[in-house]
Amino acid sequence: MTNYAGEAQALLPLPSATFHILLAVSAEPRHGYAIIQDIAARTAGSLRLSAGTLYRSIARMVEQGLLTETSKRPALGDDERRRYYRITPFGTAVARAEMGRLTSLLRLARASGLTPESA
Amino acid sequence: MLGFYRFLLRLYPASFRGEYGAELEHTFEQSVRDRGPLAAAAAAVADVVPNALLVQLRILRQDVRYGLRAMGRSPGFAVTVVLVTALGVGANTATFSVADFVLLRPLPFSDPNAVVRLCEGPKEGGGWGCMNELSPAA
Repeated sequence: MTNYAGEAQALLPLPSATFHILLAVSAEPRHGYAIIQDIAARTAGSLRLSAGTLYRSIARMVEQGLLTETSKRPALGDDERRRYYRITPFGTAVARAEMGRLTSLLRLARASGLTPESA
Repeated sequence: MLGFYRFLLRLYPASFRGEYGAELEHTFEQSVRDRGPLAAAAAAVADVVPNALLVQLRILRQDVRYGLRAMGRSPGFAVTVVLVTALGVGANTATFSVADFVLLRPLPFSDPNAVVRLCEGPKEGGGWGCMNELSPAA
């Protein structure tokens, strides 16, 4: 198994949009509009990526090797303009590294007695 | 409405448009269905303008980085190119500065069309000679 730890650390901290896109495609390949909808649903509408932000992020993430386009289409008769993206092994490593960073940060905040007001 | 969006997409670099243009159009069509044409168009303007600028800047940064790396690989060639370019720019600037002052700009006093040249001298022998300050007689 390839060890991406060093390269993954170099990309941290991830922009919020990048992390959300990685989460959206971690389980299954999705097309752009489905990624927007998935993020909006998982954040209860608090984060709704615009198409421009999404495709700008996707272009960068493909360059960085976090995502790749897949030719597998989940449904027959799907709109041909849709392109599906899936997470790469390096993308998974980066998402895990970011999660580790956020978990450490959360632990530090909790140790300092900081908790959300609604908690 | 799609024509308007395609016009907006021209703000993106051609390479980005070629890669993601069709999908962006598809997403815009979904947005029109979800929000209605006017709200979708307003959102598209607010979305495309800043993002296109950021994409242009990213590509510019990549090009500059690539150029600097190429220059680093062959510094002798790079210095020659910079010197030749500087010489060309300098020569052009000098030529157009002179042309501007000599040919294009009006004379630095009022009513330059009324300027006359006064000449005097012997009619016979060496012909007319100019005695004024603009063209002193030899």
